[in-house]
Amino acid sequence: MKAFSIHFLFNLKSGLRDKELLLMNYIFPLGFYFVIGAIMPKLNPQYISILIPSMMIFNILVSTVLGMPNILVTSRNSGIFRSYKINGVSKLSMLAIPTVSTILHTIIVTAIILITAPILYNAELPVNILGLIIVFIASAITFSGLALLIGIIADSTSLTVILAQALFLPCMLIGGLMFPSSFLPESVGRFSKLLPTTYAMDAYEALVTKGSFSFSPIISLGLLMASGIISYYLSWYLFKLDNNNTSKSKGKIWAVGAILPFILGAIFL
Amino acid sequence: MSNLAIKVSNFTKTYGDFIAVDGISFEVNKGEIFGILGPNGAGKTSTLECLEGLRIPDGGTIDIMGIDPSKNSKELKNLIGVQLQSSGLPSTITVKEAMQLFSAYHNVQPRYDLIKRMDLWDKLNIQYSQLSGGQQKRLLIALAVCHNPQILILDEPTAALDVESRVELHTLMKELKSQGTTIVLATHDMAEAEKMADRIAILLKGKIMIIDTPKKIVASGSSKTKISVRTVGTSLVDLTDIVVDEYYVFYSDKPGTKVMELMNVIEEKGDSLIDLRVERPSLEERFLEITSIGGIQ
Repeated sequence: MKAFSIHFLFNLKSGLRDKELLLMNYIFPLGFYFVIGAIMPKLNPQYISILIPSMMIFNILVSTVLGMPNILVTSRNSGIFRSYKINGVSKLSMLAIPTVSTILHTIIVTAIILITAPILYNAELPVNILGLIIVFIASAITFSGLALLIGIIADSTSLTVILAQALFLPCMLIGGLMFPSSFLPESVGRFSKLLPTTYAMDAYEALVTKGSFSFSPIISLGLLMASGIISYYLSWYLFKLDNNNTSKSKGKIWAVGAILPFILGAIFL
Repeated sequence: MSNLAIKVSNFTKTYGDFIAVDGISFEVNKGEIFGILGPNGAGKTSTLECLEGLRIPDGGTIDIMGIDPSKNSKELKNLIGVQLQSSGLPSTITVKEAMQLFSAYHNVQPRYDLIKRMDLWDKLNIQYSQLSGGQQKRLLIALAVCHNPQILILDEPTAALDVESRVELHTLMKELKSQGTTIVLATHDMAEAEKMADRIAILLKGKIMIIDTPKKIVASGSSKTKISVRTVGTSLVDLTDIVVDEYYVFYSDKPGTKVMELMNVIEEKGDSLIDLRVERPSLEERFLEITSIGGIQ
Protein backbone atom coordinates (compact mmCIF):
# COMPACT_ATOMS: atom_id res chain seq x y z
CA MET A 1 0.00 0.00 0.00
CA LYS A 2 2.93 2.33 0.78
CA ALA A 3 4.38 1.67 -2.66
CA PHE A 4 1.01 2.32 -4.28
CA SER A 5 0.71 5.62 -2.37
CA ILE A 6 4.19 6.77 -3.41
CA HIS A 7 3.48 5.78 -6.99
CA PHE A 8 0.11 7.52 -6.99
CA LEU A 9 1.56 10.69 -5.46
CA PHE A 10 4.31 10.78 -8.07
CA ASN A 11 1.77 10.28 -10.85
CA LEU A 12 -0.37 13.07 -9.46
CA LYS A 13 2.61 15.44 -9.44
CA SER A 14 3.48 14.28 -12.93
CA GLY A 15 0.13 15.67 -14.07
CA LEU A 16 1.48 19.12 -13.22
CA ARG A 17 5.15 18.64 -14.13
CA ASP A 18 4.59 17.15 -17.55
CA LYS A 19 3.84 20.04 -19.92
CA GLU A 20 1.54 17.97 -22.10
CA LEU A 21 -0.44 16.72 -19.11
CA LEU A 22 -0.56 20.19 -17.57
CA LEU A 23 -2.01 21.44 -20.85
CA MET A 24 -4.64 18.71 -21.01
CA ASN A 25 -5.48 18.63 -17.31
CA TYR A 26 -5.67 22.34 -16.60
CA ILE A 27 -4.66 24.89 -19.24
CA PHE A 28 -6.86 23.71 -22.13
CA PRO A 29 -10.04 22.90 -20.15
CA LEU A 30 -9.87 26.02 -17.97
CA GLY A 31 -8.79 28.29 -20.85
CA PHE A 32 -11.63 26.96 -23.01
CA TYR A 33 -14.08 27.37 -20.13
CA PHE A 34 -13.11 31.01 -19.59
CA VAL A 35 -13.37 31.80 -23.32
CA ILE A 36 -16.65 29.93 -23.85
CA GLY A 37 -18.12 31.35 -20.65
CA ALA A 38 -17.39 34.86 -21.88
CA ILE A 39 -18.63 34.38 -25.46
CA MET A 40 -21.40 31.78 -25.65
CA PRO A 41 -23.98 33.33 -23.26
CA LYS A 42 -23.82 36.53 -25.34
CA LEU A 43 -24.51 34.61 -28.55
CA ASN A 44 -27.08 32.31 -26.98
CA PRO A 45 -28.42 33.36 -23.54
CA GLN A 46 -29.85 29.86 -22.98
CA TYR A 47 -26.33 28.46 -23.06
CA ILE A 48 -25.76 29.67 -19.51
CA SER A 49 -27.96 26.82 -18.29
CA ILE A 50 -25.61 24.21 -19.75
CA LEU A 51 -22.32 26.05 -19.14
CA ILE A 52 -21.47 24.11 -15.99
CA PRO A 53 -22.33 20.58 -17.23
CA SER A 54 -20.87 21.13 -20.70
CA MET A 55 -17.60 22.48 -19.32
CA MET A 56 -17.46 19.75 -16.67
CA ILE A 57 -17.87 17.04 -19.29
CA PHE A 58 -15.53 18.85 -21.68
CA ASN A 59 -12.93 18.92 -18.91
CA ILE A 60 -13.29 15.17 -18.32
CA LEU A 61 -13.14 14.53 -22.08
CA VAL A 62 -9.94 16.54 -22.58
CA SER A 63 -8.07 15.28 -19.51
CA THR A 64 -8.83 11.64 -20.20
CA VAL A 65 -9.17 11.16 -23.96
CA LEU A 66 -6.55 13.70 -25.00
CA GLY A 67 -4.23 13.35 -22.01
CA MET A 68 -4.09 9.75 -20.86
CA PRO A 69 -3.43 7.64 -23.99
CA ASN A 70 -0.04 9.15 -24.84
CA ILE A 71 1.26 8.43 -21.36
CA LEU A 72 0.29 4.77 -21.70
CA VAL A 73 1.83 4.45 -25.16
CA THR A 74 5.04 6.14 -24.01
CA SER A 75 5.20 3.94 -20.92
CA ARG A 76 4.92 0.85 -23.06
CA ASN A 77 7.23 1.94 -25.89
CA SER A 78 10.02 3.32 -23.71
CA GLY A 79 10.19 0.27 -21.46
CA ILE A 80 8.62 1.83 -18.35
CA PHE A 81 6.02 -0.95 -18.08
CA ARG A 82 8.79 -3.56 -18.38
CA SER A 83 10.74 -1.85 -15.66
CA TYR A 84 7.62 -1.70 -13.46
CA LYS A 85 6.78 -5.37 -14.04
CA ILE A 86 10.27 -6.53 -13.04
CA ASN A 87 10.11 -4.48 -9.86
CA GLY A 88 6.75 -5.84 -8.81
CA VAL A 89 4.35 -3.15 -9.98
CA SER A 90 1.09 -4.92 -10.76
CA LYS A 91 -0.89 -4.56 -13.96
CA LEU A 92 -3.70 -3.12 -11.84
CA SER A 93 -1.40 -0.36 -10.58
CA MET A 94 -0.09 0.37 -14.07
CA LEU A 95 -3.66 0.90 -15.29
CA ALA A 96 -5.33 2.31 -12.17
CA ILE A 97 -2.76 4.89 -11.09
CA PRO A 98 -2.81 7.07 -14.24
CA THR A 99 -6.60 6.70 -14.40
CA VAL A 100 -7.32 7.71 -10.81
CA SER A 101 -4.79 10.56 -10.82
CA THR A 102 -6.30 11.95 -14.04
CA ILE A 103 -9.78 11.78 -12.52
CA LEU A 104 -8.50 13.61 -9.45
CA HIS A 105 -7.26 16.43 -11.70
CA THR A 106 -10.69 16.60 -13.35
CA ILE A 107 -12.30 16.88 -9.90
CA ILE A 108 -10.08 19.89 -9.13
CA VAL A 109 -10.94 21.59 -12.42
CA THR A 110 -14.65 20.82 -11.98
CA ALA A 111 -14.50 22.40 -8.54
CA ILE A 112 -12.90 25.52 -10.05
CA ILE A 113 -15.70 25.67 -12.66
CA LEU A 114 -18.41 25.22 -10.01
CA ILE A 115 -16.93 27.96 -7.85
CA THR A 116 -16.20 30.50 -10.59
CA ALA A 117 -19.12 30.03 -13.01
CA PRO A 118 -21.73 31.74 -10.75
CA ILE A 119 -19.31 34.57 -9.95
CA LEU A 120 -17.95 35.22 -13.44
CA TYR A 121 -20.90 34.35 -15.66
CA ASN A 122 -23.97 34.34 -13.40
CA ALA A 123 -24.42 30.62 -14.02
CA GLU A 124 -26.80 28.92 -11.61
CA LEU A 125 -25.30 26.28 -9.38
CA PRO A 126 -27.01 22.91 -9.76
CA VAL A 127 -29.53 22.25 -7.01
CA ASN A 128 -29.28 18.49 -7.24
CA ILE A 129 -25.62 18.03 -6.28
CA LEU A 130 -26.07 14.27 -6.02
CA GLY A 131 -27.26 14.19 -9.63
CA LEU A 132 -24.20 16.21 -10.65
CA ILE A 133 -21.92 13.79 -8.82
CA ILE A 134 -23.62 10.79 -10.45
CA VAL A 135 -23.21 12.28 -13.94
CA PHE A 136 -19.61 13.19 -13.14
CA ILE A 137 -18.80 9.66 -11.98
CA ALA A 138 -20.50 8.02 -14.97
CA SER A 139 -18.73 10.37 -17.40
CA ALA A 140 -15.37 9.90 -15.68
CA ILE A 141 -15.69 6.11 -15.81
CA THR A 142 -16.72 6.14 -19.47
CA PHE A 143 -14.11 8.57 -20.76
CA SER A 144 -11.27 7.23 -18.64
CA GLY A 145 -12.17 3.72 -19.82
CA LEU A 146 -12.18 4.79 -23.47
CA ALA A 147 -8.92 6.74 -22.96
CA LEU A 148 -7.33 3.71 -21.33
CA LEU A 149 -8.41 1.52 -24.20
CA ILE A 150 -7.03 3.96 -26.81
CA GLY A 151 -3.70 3.98 -24.98
CA ILE A 152 -3.66 0.19 -24.81
CA ILE A 153 -4.49 -0.54 -28.45
CA ALA A 154 -2.48 2.26 -30.11
CA ASP A 155 1.07 1.22 -30.94
CA SER A 156 2.29 4.79 -31.45
CA THR A 157 1.49 8.27 -30.24
CA SER A 158 0.50 9.32 -33.76
CA LEU A 159 -2.21 6.63 -33.82
CA THR A 160 -3.25 7.75 -30.36
CA VAL A 161 -3.87 11.26 -31.66
CA ILE A 162 -6.00 9.94 -34.55
CA LEU A 163 -8.12 7.72 -32.30
CA ALA A 164 -8.49 10.37 -29.60
CA GLN A 165 -9.49 13.04 -32.10
CA ALA A 166 -11.96 10.64 -33.74
CA LEU A 167 -13.77 10.62 -30.41
CA PHE A 168 -13.07 14.17 -29.26
CA LEU A 169 -14.09 16.19 -32.32
CA PRO A 170 -17.57 14.66 -32.89
CA CYS A 171 -18.23 14.92 -29.14
CA MET A 172 -17.35 18.61 -29.28
CA LEU A 173 -19.31 19.41 -32.42
CA ILE A 174 -22.50 17.37 -32.12
CA GLY A 175 -22.28 15.73 -28.70
CA GLY A 176 -24.40 18.33 -26.90
CA LEU A 177 -21.52 20.29 -25.37
CA MET A 178 -21.94 23.46 -27.44
CA PHE A 179 -25.71 23.24 -27.92
CA PRO A 180 -28.41 20.69 -27.06
CA SER A 181 -28.57 17.61 -29.28
CA SER A 182 -32.26 18.31 -29.86
CA PHE A 183 -31.18 21.27 -32.04
CA LEU A 184 -29.58 18.88 -34.53
CA PRO A 185 -31.22 17.66 -37.74
CA GLU A 186 -32.58 14.14 -37.38
CA SER A 187 -29.85 12.44 -39.43
CA VAL A 188 -27.09 14.14 -37.45
CA GLY A 189 -29.04 13.60 -34.25
CA ARG A 190 -28.99 9.85 -34.84
CA PHE A 191 -25.23 9.99 -35.32
CA SER A 192 -24.90 11.98 -32.10
CA LYS A 193 -26.42 9.01 -30.27
CA LEU A 194 -23.15 7.19 -30.95
CA LEU A 195 -21.36 9.72 -28.73
CA PRO A 196 -20.97 9.39 -24.96
CA THR A 197 -21.27 13.15 -24.39
CA THR A 198 -24.82 13.08 -25.77
CA TYR A 199 -25.86 10.68 -23.00
CA ALA A 200 -23.85 12.49 -20.34
CA MET A 201 -25.49 15.82 -21.16
CA ASP A 202 -28.93 14.19 -21.40
CA ALA A 203 -28.47 12.51 -18.02
CA TYR A 204 -27.49 15.88 -16.53
CA GLU A 205 -30.64 17.49 -17.96
CA ALA A 206 -32.76 14.65 -16.59
CA LEU A 207 -31.19 14.43 -13.14
CA VAL A 208 -30.00 17.94 -12.32
CA THR A 209 -31.85 20.66 -14.23
CA LYS A 210 -35.04 18.64 -14.86
CA GLY A 211 -35.05 20.35 -18.27
CA SER A 212 -35.74 18.83 -21.65
CA PHE A 213 -34.19 15.42 -21.99
CA SER A 214 -34.56 12.62 -24.54
CA PHE A 215 -33.91 9.43 -22.58
CA SER A 216 -34.49 8.07 -19.14
CA PRO A 217 -31.44 8.89 -16.99
CA ILE A 218 -31.19 5.21 -16.16
CA ILE A 219 -30.74 4.42 -19.84
CA SER A 220 -28.18 7.22 -20.37
CA LEU A 221 -26.20 6.34 -17.27
CA GLY A 222 -26.53 2.63 -18.06
CA LEU A 223 -25.08 3.09 -21.54
CA LEU A 224 -22.25 5.25 -20.18
CA MET A 225 -21.41 2.80 -17.43
CA ALA A 226 -21.65 -0.19 -19.75
CA SER A 227 -19.21 1.42 -22.18
CA GLY A 228 -16.86 2.35 -19.35
CA ILE A 229 -16.89 -1.11 -17.79
CA ILE A 230 -16.40 -2.82 -21.18
CA SER A 231 -13.50 -0.44 -21.87
CA TYR A 232 -11.87 -1.25 -18.54
CA TYR A 233 -12.26 -4.97 -19.12
CA LEU A 234 -10.86 -4.77 -22.66
CA SER A 235 -7.96 -2.61 -21.45
CA TRP A 236 -7.14 -5.24 -18.87
CA TYR A 237 -7.46 -8.03 -21.43
CA LEU A 238 -5.48 -6.32 -24.20
CA PHE A 239 -2.78 -4.82 -21.95
CA LYS A 240 0.77 -5.67 -23.00
CA LEU A 241 4.11 -4.71 -21.57
CA ASP A 242 5.68 -3.96 -24.94
CA ASN A 243 4.89 -4.05 -28.64
CA ASN A 244 6.65 -7.39 -29.14
CA ASN A 245 3.61 -9.21 -27.77
CA THR A 246 1.91 -9.89 -31.10
CA SER A 247 -0.70 -12.27 -29.70
CA LYS A 248 -2.39 -9.37 -27.91
CA SER A 249 -2.25 -7.21 -31.05
CA LYS A 250 -4.48 -9.68 -32.86
CA GLY A 251 -7.23 -9.09 -30.30
CA LYS A 252 -7.47 -5.35 -30.91
CA ILE A 253 -10.62 -5.75 -32.94
CA TRP A 254 -12.41 -6.48 -29.66
CA ALA A 255 -11.91 -2.82 -28.73
CA VAL A 256 -14.91 -2.02 -30.91
CA GLY A 257 -16.95 -3.60 -28.12
CA ALA A 258 -16.41 -0.45 -26.07
CA ILE A 259 -18.76 1.55 -28.30
CA LEU A 260 -21.30 -1.27 -28.61
CA PRO A 261 -23.64 0.29 -26.00
CA PHE A 262 -23.76 3.51 -28.01
CA ILE A 263 -24.35 1.62 -31.27
CA LEU A 264 -27.30 -0.08 -29.60
CA GLY A 265 -28.44 3.33 -28.36
CA ALA A 266 -28.31 4.79 -31.87
CA ILE A 267 -30.29 1.86 -33.25
CA PHE A 268 -32.97 1.45 -30.61
CA LEU A 269 -33.43 4.88 -29.00
CA MET B 1 19.81 -27.08 -6.67
CA SER B 2 21.95 -26.36 -3.57
CA ASN B 3 24.80 -24.53 -5.25
CA LEU B 4 22.88 -23.55 -8.33
CA ALA B 5 21.35 -20.11 -8.70
CA ILE B 6 19.94 -20.67 -12.17
CA LYS B 7 19.19 -23.84 -14.07
CA VAL B 8 17.99 -23.63 -17.66
CA SER B 9 17.02 -26.87 -19.41
CA ASN B 10 16.12 -27.27 -23.10
CA PHE B 11 14.81 -23.71 -23.13
CA THR B 12 13.15 -22.64 -26.38
CA LYS B 13 11.61 -19.32 -27.36
CA THR B 14 9.89 -18.66 -30.67
CA TYR B 15 8.21 -15.65 -32.24
CA GLY B 16 5.83 -16.99 -34.87
CA ASP B 17 7.97 -19.12 -37.17
CA PHE B 18 11.22 -17.56 -35.95
CA ILE B 19 13.15 -19.60 -33.41
CA ALA B 20 14.95 -17.09 -31.20
CA VAL B 21 16.30 -19.63 -28.72
CA ASP B 22 16.64 -23.26 -29.70
CA GLY B 23 16.68 -25.68 -26.78
CA ILE B 24 19.59 -24.31 -24.78
CA SER B 25 20.68 -25.58 -21.37
CA PHE B 26 23.05 -24.03 -18.87
CA GLU B 27 23.55 -23.63 -15.16
CA VAL B 28 24.81 -20.68 -13.16
CA ASN B 29 26.36 -21.25 -9.76
CA LYS B 30 25.67 -19.09 -6.74
CA GLY B 31 28.12 -16.22 -6.44
CA GLU B 32 29.28 -16.59 -10.02
CA ILE B 33 29.51 -13.90 -12.70
CA PHE B 34 28.14 -15.56 -15.79
CA GLY B 35 28.64 -13.80 -19.09
CA ILE B 36 26.35 -14.18 -22.08
CA LEU B 37 27.87 -13.13 -25.38
CA GLY B 38 26.55 -13.25 -28.89
CA PRO B 39 25.99 -11.13 -31.96
CA ASN B 40 22.71 -9.28 -32.44
CA GLY B 41 19.83 -11.72 -32.89
CA ALA B 42 21.67 -14.56 -31.15
CA GLY B 43 18.95 -14.96 -28.51
CA LYS B 44 20.58 -13.13 -25.59
CA THR B 45 17.70 -10.76 -24.94
CA SER B 46 15.06 -13.49 -25.26
CA THR B 47 17.01 -15.59 -22.77
CA LEU B 48 17.33 -12.72 -20.31
CA GLU B 49 13.69 -11.72 -20.68
CA CYS B 50 12.56 -15.25 -19.87
CA LEU B 51 14.91 -15.33 -16.87
CA GLU B 52 13.35 -12.06 -15.71
CA GLY B 53 9.80 -13.36 -16.15
CA LEU B 54 8.99 -10.83 -18.86
CA ARG B 55 8.32 -13.57 -21.42
CA ILE B 56 7.11 -17.12 -21.18
CA PRO B 57 9.31 -19.88 -22.65
CA ASP B 58 7.80 -21.98 -25.42
CA GLY B 59 9.69 -25.06 -24.30
CA GLY B 60 11.97 -26.32 -21.57
CA THR B 61 12.27 -25.09 -18.01
CA ILE B 62 13.87 -22.20 -16.17
CA ASP B 63 14.56 -22.52 -12.47
CA ILE B 64 15.78 -19.53 -10.48
CA MET B 65 16.52 -20.53 -6.88
CA GLY B 66 13.59 -22.93 -7.08
CA ILE B 67 11.25 -20.42 -8.70
CA ASP B 68 9.72 -20.61 -12.17
CA PRO B 69 9.91 -16.98 -13.37
CA SER B 70 6.95 -17.33 -15.72
CA LYS B 71 4.67 -18.46 -12.91
CA ASN B 72 5.90 -16.75 -9.76
CA SER B 73 6.80 -13.20 -10.72
CA LYS B 74 5.89 -11.87 -7.26
CA GLU B 75 8.39 -14.15 -5.52
CA LEU B 76 10.94 -13.44 -8.23
CA LYS B 77 10.91 -9.63 -7.88
CA ASN B 78 12.73 -9.58 -4.54
CA LEU B 79 15.13 -12.30 -5.61
CA ILE B 80 16.44 -10.66 -8.75
CA GLY B 81 17.62 -7.20 -9.69
CA VAL B 82 17.50 -6.26 -13.32
CA GLN B 83 19.08 -3.52 -15.37
CA LEU B 84 17.40 -3.84 -18.73
CA GLN B 85 18.95 -2.43 -21.87
CA SER B 86 15.55 -1.29 -23.13
CA SER B 87 13.91 -0.07 -19.98
CA GLY B 88 13.12 3.37 -18.82
CA LEU B 89 11.55 5.52 -16.19
CA PRO B 90 8.86 8.18 -16.45
CA SER B 91 10.45 11.33 -17.86
CA THR B 92 9.30 13.51 -14.96
CA ILE B 93 10.39 11.27 -12.07
CA THR B 94 13.31 12.63 -10.06
CA VAL B 95 16.28 10.55 -8.97
CA LYS B 96 15.05 10.69 -5.36
CA GLU B 97 11.49 9.71 -6.26
CA ALA B 98 12.70 6.82 -8.40
CA MET B 99 14.73 5.44 -5.52
CA GLN B 100 11.80 5.90 -3.12
CA LEU B 101 9.37 4.25 -5.54
CA PHE B 102 11.47 1.20 -6.40
CA SER B 103 12.56 0.70 -2.78
CA ALA B 104 8.93 0.84 -1.67
CA TYR B 105 7.92 -1.81 -4.20
CA HIS B 106 10.68 -4.04 -2.77
CA ASN B 107 9.74 -3.22 0.85
CA VAL B 108 13.18 -1.81 1.68
CA GLN B 109 14.41 1.60 2.81
CA PRO B 110 15.65 3.87 0.00
CA ARG B 111 19.36 3.26 -0.66
CA TYR B 112 20.66 6.81 -1.04
CA ASP B 113 24.19 5.47 -0.53
CA LEU B 114 23.86 3.90 -3.98
CA ILE B 115 22.84 7.26 -5.42
CA LYS B 116 26.00 8.77 -3.92
CA ARG B 117 28.10 5.88 -5.16
CA MET B 118 26.75 6.27 -8.67
CA ASP B 119 27.74 9.94 -8.49
CA LEU B 120 24.16 11.16 -8.72
CA TRP B 121 23.86 12.85 -5.31
CA ASP B 122 23.84 16.34 -6.79
CA LYS B 123 21.14 15.20 -9.24
CA LEU B 124 18.78 14.00 -6.49
CA ASN B 125 15.96 16.35 -7.48
CA ILE B 126 16.64 16.29 -11.20
CA GLN B 127 14.07 14.67 -13.46
CA TYR B 128 15.00 11.52 -15.37
CA SER B 129 14.62 13.19 -18.77
CA GLN B 130 17.18 15.83 -17.77
CA LEU B 131 19.88 13.28 -16.93
CA SER B 132 22.51 12.34 -19.50
CA GLY B 133 22.46 8.83 -21.02
CA GLY B 134 25.24 7.70 -18.69
CA GLN B 135 23.52 9.18 -15.63
CA GLN B 136 20.27 7.44 -16.56
CA LYS B 137 22.13 4.14 -16.89
CA ARG B 138 23.79 4.66 -13.49
CA LEU B 139 20.44 5.38 -11.88
CA LEU B 140 18.94 2.22 -13.39
CA ILE B 141 21.84 0.19 -12.02
CA ALA B 142 21.38 1.74 -8.56
CA LEU B 143 17.66 0.86 -8.70
CA ALA B 144 18.48 -2.69 -9.81
CA VAL B 145 20.56 -3.35 -6.69
CA CYS B 146 18.61 -1.25 -4.15
CA HIS B 147 17.00 -4.34 -2.59
CA ASN B 148 20.21 -6.43 -2.37
CA PRO B 149 19.06 -9.04 -4.89
CA GLN B 150 20.52 -12.53 -4.78
CA ILE B 151 20.72 -12.55 -8.55
CA LEU B 152 21.59 -9.49 -10.61
CA ILE B 153 20.90 -9.44 -14.34
CA LEU B 154 22.79 -6.78 -16.26
CA ASP B 155 22.13 -6.18 -19.95
CA GLU B 156 24.85 -4.06 -21.56
CA PRO B 157 25.53 -2.25 -18.27
CA THR B 158 28.56 -0.31 -19.41
CA ALA B 159 27.18 0.90 -22.74
CA ALA B 160 27.11 4.73 -22.68
CA LEU B 161 29.14 4.85 -19.45
CA ASP B 162 32.32 6.91 -19.18
CA VAL B 163 35.55 5.30 -17.98
CA GLU B 164 35.15 6.32 -14.32
CA SER B 165 31.58 5.03 -14.13
CA ARG B 166 32.62 1.80 -15.82
CA VAL B 167 35.38 1.24 -13.25
CA GLU B 168 32.95 2.05 -10.42
CA LEU B 169 30.42 -0.43 -11.80
CA HIS B 170 33.05 -3.14 -12.09
CA THR B 171 34.09 -2.50 -8.49
CA LEU B 172 30.47 -2.72 -7.40
CA MET B 173 30.03 -5.97 -9.31
CA LYS B 174 33.08 -7.45 -7.59
CA GLU B 175 31.76 -6.35 -4.19
CA LEU B 176 28.37 -7.91 -4.88
CA LYS B 177 30.04 -11.10 -6.03
CA SER B 178 32.12 -11.23 -2.86
CA GLN B 179 28.87 -10.92 -0.88
CA GLY B 180 27.50 -13.96 -2.71
CA THR B 181 25.42 -12.23 -5.38
CA THR B 182 25.10 -14.13 -8.63
CA ILE B 183 25.48 -11.89 -11.66
CA VAL B 184 24.34 -12.62 -15.19
CA LEU B 185 26.08 -10.22 -17.53
CA ALA B 186 25.10 -9.79 -21.18
CA THR B 187 27.56 -7.61 -22.99
CA HIS B 188 29.11 -6.81 -26.34
CA ASP B 189 32.28 -5.66 -24.58
CA MET B 190 34.65 -8.63 -24.88
CA ALA B 191 37.26 -7.06 -22.62
CA GLU B 192 34.63 -6.59 -19.93
CA ALA B 193 33.42 -10.18 -20.26
CA GLU B 194 36.96 -11.53 -20.16
CA LYS B 195 37.83 -9.43 -17.13
CA MET B 196 34.65 -9.86 -15.09
CA ALA B 197 33.04 -13.19 -15.96
CA ASP B 198 33.91 -16.48 -14.25
CA ARG B 199 32.28 -18.37 -17.10
CA ILE B 200 30.92 -17.33 -20.45
CA ALA B 201 28.32 -18.73 -22.83
CA ILE B 202 28.54 -17.67 -26.46
CA LEU B 203 25.19 -17.79 -28.24
CA LEU B 204 24.71 -17.93 -31.98
CA LYS B 205 21.41 -18.31 -33.80
CA GLY B 206 19.64 -19.38 -30.63
CA LYS B 207 22.14 -22.08 -29.67
CA ILE B 208 25.00 -22.15 -27.19
CA MET B 209 28.21 -22.55 -29.16
CA ILE B 210 30.55 -22.81 -26.22
CA ILE B 211 30.32 -22.44 -22.47
CA ASP B 212 33.43 -22.29 -20.30
CA THR B 213 35.83 -20.00 -18.49
CA PRO B 214 37.20 -17.14 -20.62
CA LYS B 215 40.70 -18.65 -20.52
CA LYS B 216 39.55 -22.05 -21.69
CA ILE B 217 37.39 -20.54 -24.43
CA VAL B 218 40.36 -18.56 -25.72
CA ALA B 219 42.65 -21.56 -25.44
CA SER B 220 40.25 -23.78 -27.37
CA GLY B 221 40.60 -21.64 -30.49
CA SER B 222 42.91 -22.04 -33.44
CA SER B 223 44.48 -18.59 -33.03
CA LYS B 224 48.17 -18.57 -32.23
CA THR B 225 50.03 -16.48 -29.70
CA LYS B 226 51.69 -13.39 -31.12
CA ILE B 227 55.36 -12.84 -30.16
CA SER B 228 56.91 -9.46 -30.98
CA VAL B 229 60.66 -9.05 -30.53
CA ARG B 230 62.83 -5.94 -30.93
CA THR B 231 66.58 -6.32 -31.05
CA VAL B 232 69.61 -4.06 -31.44
CA GLY B 233 70.88 -5.97 -34.48
CA THR B 234 69.28 -7.97 -37.27
CA SER B 235 69.68 -11.45 -35.84
CA LEU B 236 66.02 -12.36 -36.45
CA VAL B 237 65.63 -10.89 -39.92
CA ASP B 238 65.84 -14.24 -41.70
CA LEU B 239 63.28 -15.93 -39.42
CA THR B 240 60.20 -13.84 -40.24
CA ASP B 241 58.78 -11.69 -43.02
CA ILE B 242 56.61 -9.69 -40.64
CA VAL B 243 58.17 -6.55 -39.23
CA VAL B 244 55.95 -3.98 -37.56
CA ASP B 245 57.39 -0.80 -36.05
CA GLU B 246 60.89 -2.37 -35.81
CA TYR B 247 59.45 -5.46 -34.07
CA TYR B 248 59.93 -8.89 -35.61
CA VAL B 249 56.59 -10.66 -35.29
CA PHE B 250 56.12 -14.43 -34.87
CA TYR B 251 52.99 -16.58 -34.35
CA SER B 252 53.12 -19.83 -32.43
CA ASP B 253 50.83 -22.30 -30.68
CA LYS B 254 53.74 -23.11 -28.33
CA PRO B 255 54.83 -19.66 -27.22
CA GLY B 256 57.19 -20.85 -24.46
CA THR B 257 59.25 -23.01 -26.81
CA LYS B 258 59.26 -20.32 -29.49
CA VAL B 259 60.50 -17.62 -27.12
CA MET B 260 63.33 -19.87 -25.93
CA GLU B 261 64.25 -20.61 -29.53
CA LEU B 262 64.35 -16.89 -30.41
CA MET B 263 66.44 -16.08 -27.33
CA ASN B 264 68.96 -18.71 -28.34
CA VAL B 265 69.22 -17.25 -31.85
CA ILE B 266 69.75 -13.73 -30.48
CA GLU B 267 72.46 -14.98 -28.11
CA GLU B 268 74.19 -17.15 -30.69
CA LYS B 269 74.41 -14.24 -33.14
CA GLY B 270 75.75 -11.87 -30.46
CA ASP B 271 72.69 -9.65 -30.69
CA SER B 272 70.90 -7.90 -27.80
CA LEU B 273 67.24 -7.93 -26.87
CA ILE B 274 65.48 -4.55 -26.48
CA ASP B 275 61.87 -5.62 -25.97
CA LEU B 276 59.79 -8.79 -25.97
CA ARG B 277 55.98 -8.89 -26.06
CA VAL B 278 53.83 -12.01 -25.88
CA GLU B 279 50.14 -11.54 -26.67
CA ARG B 280 47.85 -14.49 -26.30
CA PRO B 281 44.75 -14.61 -28.52
CA SER B 282 41.95 -12.46 -27.11
CA LEU B 283 38.40 -13.45 -26.34
CA GLU B 284 37.37 -11.11 -29.11
CA GLU B 285 39.39 -13.03 -31.67
CA ARG B 286 37.96 -16.30 -30.40
CA PHE B 287 34.44 -14.85 -30.43
CA LEU B 288 34.86 -13.73 -34.04
CA GLU B 289 36.25 -17.13 -34.93
CA ILE B 290 33.24 -18.90 -33.39
CA THR B 291 30.63 -16.59 -34.87
CA SER B 292 32.23 -16.46 -38.33
CA ILE B 293 32.35 -20.22 -38.77
CA GLY B 294 28.94 -20.77 -37.23
CA GLY B 295 30.31 -22.34 -34.14
CA ILE B 296 32.31 -25.24 -35.56
CA GLN B 297 34.91 -25.70 -32.85
